[in-house]
Amino acid sequence: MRRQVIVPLFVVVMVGCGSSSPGTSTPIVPDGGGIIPNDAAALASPFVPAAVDNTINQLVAAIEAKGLSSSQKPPIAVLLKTFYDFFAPVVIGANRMSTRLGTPTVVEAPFDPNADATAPDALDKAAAAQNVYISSLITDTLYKGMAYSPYEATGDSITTLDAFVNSCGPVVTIDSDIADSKRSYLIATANYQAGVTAAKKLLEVVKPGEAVLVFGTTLAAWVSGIERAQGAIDTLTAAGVIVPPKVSPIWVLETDKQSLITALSDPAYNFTGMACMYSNADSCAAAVEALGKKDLIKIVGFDMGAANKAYFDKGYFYGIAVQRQYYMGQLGVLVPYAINVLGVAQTAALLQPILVNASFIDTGIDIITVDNYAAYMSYLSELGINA
Amino acid sequence: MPSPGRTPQATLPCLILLAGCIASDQPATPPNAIRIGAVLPFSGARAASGVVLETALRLGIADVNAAGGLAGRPLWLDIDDSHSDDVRGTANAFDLIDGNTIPFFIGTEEPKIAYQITSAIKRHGMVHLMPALTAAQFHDPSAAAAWFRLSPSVSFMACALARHMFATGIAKTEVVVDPDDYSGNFAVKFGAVIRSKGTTVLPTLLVDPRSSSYADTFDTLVRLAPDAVVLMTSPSVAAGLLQEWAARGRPIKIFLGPTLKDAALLRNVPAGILEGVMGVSADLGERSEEFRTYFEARTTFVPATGSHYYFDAVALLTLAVAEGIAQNGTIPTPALLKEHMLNVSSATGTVVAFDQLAQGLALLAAGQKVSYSGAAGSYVLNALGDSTLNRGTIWQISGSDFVTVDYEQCDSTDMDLTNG
Repeated sequence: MRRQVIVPLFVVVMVGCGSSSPGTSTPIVPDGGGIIPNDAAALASPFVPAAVDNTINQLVAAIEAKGLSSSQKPPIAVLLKTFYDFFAPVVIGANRMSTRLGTPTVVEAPFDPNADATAPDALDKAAAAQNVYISSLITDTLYKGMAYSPYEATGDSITTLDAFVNSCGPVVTIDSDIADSKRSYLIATANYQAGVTAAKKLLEVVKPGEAVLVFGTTLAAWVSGIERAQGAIDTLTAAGVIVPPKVSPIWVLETDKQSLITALSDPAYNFTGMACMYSNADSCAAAVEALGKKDLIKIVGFDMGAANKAYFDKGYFYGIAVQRQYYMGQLGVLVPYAINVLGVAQTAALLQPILVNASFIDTGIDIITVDNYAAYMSYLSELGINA
Repeated sequence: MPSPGRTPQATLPCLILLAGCIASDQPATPPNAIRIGAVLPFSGARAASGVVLETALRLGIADVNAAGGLAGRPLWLDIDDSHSDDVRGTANAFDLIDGNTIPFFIGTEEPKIAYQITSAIKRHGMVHLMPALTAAQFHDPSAAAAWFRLSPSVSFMACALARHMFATGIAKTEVVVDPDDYSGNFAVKFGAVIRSKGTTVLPTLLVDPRSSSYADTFDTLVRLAPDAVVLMTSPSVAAGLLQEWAARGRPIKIFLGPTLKDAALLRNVPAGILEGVMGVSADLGERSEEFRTYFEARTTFVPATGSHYYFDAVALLTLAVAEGIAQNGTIPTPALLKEHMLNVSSATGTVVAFDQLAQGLALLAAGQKVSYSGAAGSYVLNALGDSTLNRGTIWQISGSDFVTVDYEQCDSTDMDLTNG
C-alpha cells in the first residue's frame, strides 16, 4: 500500500557562508509541494498560540511559494546554552522546523565535563566556549543563518556574533539577547507583558490594600529580568495593592528562602501574595512552607521546572507562567531561513502579528493553574515535549 | 486497512508457524481475553520491521497462553498497520484504543504516533509500553495511565557511536537522517558528544523516504568531504542509499545507526556490499544469542534487535500483572502496575529467564518474587518508567551476520548524564 507522503524534499546542497550562488546539484524531485501543517494533532489544544502558529504557517507558505530547489536552501546553525531542561523543547522545535523546511541544520551547545557551574567565572567560560563554536561555524563556511542563545551580551560575544552576520548571514537570539549587536531579532517572552500577565493572575486572589512581595532582580544589567518584575509591580500598584521593595534573588535556594522569610515576616505589611518572577520561584514556596502560610499567601511563579512543579503539586502555587520554548526553537530556524529566502522586508511584514517592536518576536506565555494543569500536560505530551 | 482486532495479511506466516498462538482466523476475541493493542509498520518505509516485531509479540503471547494465561485468561493481540506514517498510524491507533476495551498498548516504531495517542491512553486508563529502539521519550505525570520505555536512551546510543568514531581518529562527521524525532535527536546528541571531543560536525542532512535516487545527497557529501557519515534511517531508505553508495565505489566511510542492525537491511542490498561496515546498537546482554536461537526455532524468522524488546514487553507486562493479581486478585491500575513493573525488573527474587515464563507465573501465583532476565538482558527501570541500562555495542557486518566488536558505555565525561 502506498504510504501517504507528508514531507517535502530533504536532499540538500549547501553553499558557502555569505555566498548567494546556488550549489551545483540538481534536485531529484520537484520542489514547491503543499505546505505541511504545523503539528496538526495538537491544534485543538487551547495552549496552541494561535498568533505564533499562524505566523509560522504564513512564513512557511511564503517560502514554499518560492519553489526553492534543494541546492538553494540555506543551512542554519542553532547554538544553545544546553540541550536540556529549559532548552529541550527548543531542540525539538528546531529539529522539526528543519524537517519541515527540508534544510540542513546543526544544533549545538557547549559541553565541558570539567565545568564548575558554581565558579565565579563560569558564565565567562561558557560564553567563551560559545564564541569558539561560532568562530568554527564561520570557518566552516557552510551556514547562512543562526539561532543563538548567548550566555553573555558584552565584549567578545558581540564581536563574534557580528562576525557571523558579516560573513555568513542573519542571526536571531533566543531567550537571551545581545541587543548591541547586528542580530536581526530577539525571539523570547516579552518580559514586561509577562510580568503584567502574571500579576493579573495574582490579582484574582489579592485585594487592594493587601501586600504582595515581588521576588525579582535588582541587577540593572539584567534588563529582561528587571522588565518582567516591573511589569508585575506596575500592574499590582495600579490595582491598589501594596508592593514593598522587591527581594532580589542570588540563586542559592537556602539564602533566597531566608531573605524571603525575613521580608514576609515584616509586621508592617499584610502579605497575601507573592510574585516570583523567575524559574527559582520554588524559593518563594519554600519560604511560605517554612512560615506555615500555605493557604494564606498565594504565589504566582514562572517556569514549570522540576522544583517548581514539586511545589505546584503540593498546592503552593496559585499559578505558574510557562514560556513557549518549542516555538522559540521553531522560529529560531525559520526566521533566519526566511530572511535568506524572502528578504528582510517581507519577513518583517509576515512577522508583524507577533512583533513587540521592530526586532522583538514575542512567543508569549501561558498561566498554568490547577484547573488547566492536566490539559497543559496533555498538550505537552501530544507535542512530544513533556520531559 | 485491517480492522481492529484483525491481523494484517502480511503477518500470516508467523501465525502459522507459532505453536500455541492465537489463530488469525479466529472469529472473535475470547470473551475473557486480556487484550493488548499494537500498531506496527506493515507497509511504507519501515515495513521490513513490522512482521518480525509482531512475531516477537505473538511469541511472547503464545508462551504466556501456553502457561495458562493470566489467572486463566488468555492474552489477545489487537494489531493494526501504522503504514510507517504518523497520520495514518495515529488514526489506526485511535481506532484500536477507542473502539475496544484494551488495557495495554505496545509500540510504536514512529515516536510521533506515541505522542499523539497520549490523551487517549489517559482517557482509557491504559498502560503503554514502548519497546522500540526509536521509542518516544516523554514523561506525562498523569496517574490515570502509565508509560514504560524499555529500550536504551537515544542519547546513550548516539554517545556510544560518537565515542567509538572519535577513538578511531575521525575528525569530521556528518549525520544523514530520516525526518523523525528519533533520528533528529540522535544527530543532535551524537554531534554534541563528538564535537566536545574536538571533532568537526557538519550540518545534518535529511533524506526523503520517497526518493529513488540519492545523487544529490552524495554530491553534497563529496563536496563537504566528511571523514565519515552516520546513517540514521529506516532499513528500506538505507538499502537504497547504500546501493548507490556502493555503485559509486564507496566514496565515504559510513557508520550505521541503531535501527540498521537488521537482517532486512542485508536482504535488500546485493550480497557483500556492506562487508566490514560498522554500526551501533543496544547491548542486548548475555542471553541475546539464546533468544535468537529460541526465536528462530519457534518462528523461522531471524529476530531484529527490536524483537528482543517487543518480546520482553509482553513478558514484563505479564509478570507485573500476575504479581498484581496474586496480591490483590485483580488487574492492577496503571499507577499500581508501575510498582509491579519495578518489582519484577528488580534484582530481588527468583531469576526468571525469557523462556521460563511459565515458572515465573507459577512463582508469582505462589506469592513469591521474581526477577525477569529478558531477551534483551536485565531491566532496571527508574521511577519514571524508563530503562536505565544504556550500554551500546559496536558491531561490524561480516557475511550475513552483525558481529559485536566492542562495547561503549558513556559516562559523565561524555555527556550530561543527569539529563541523558
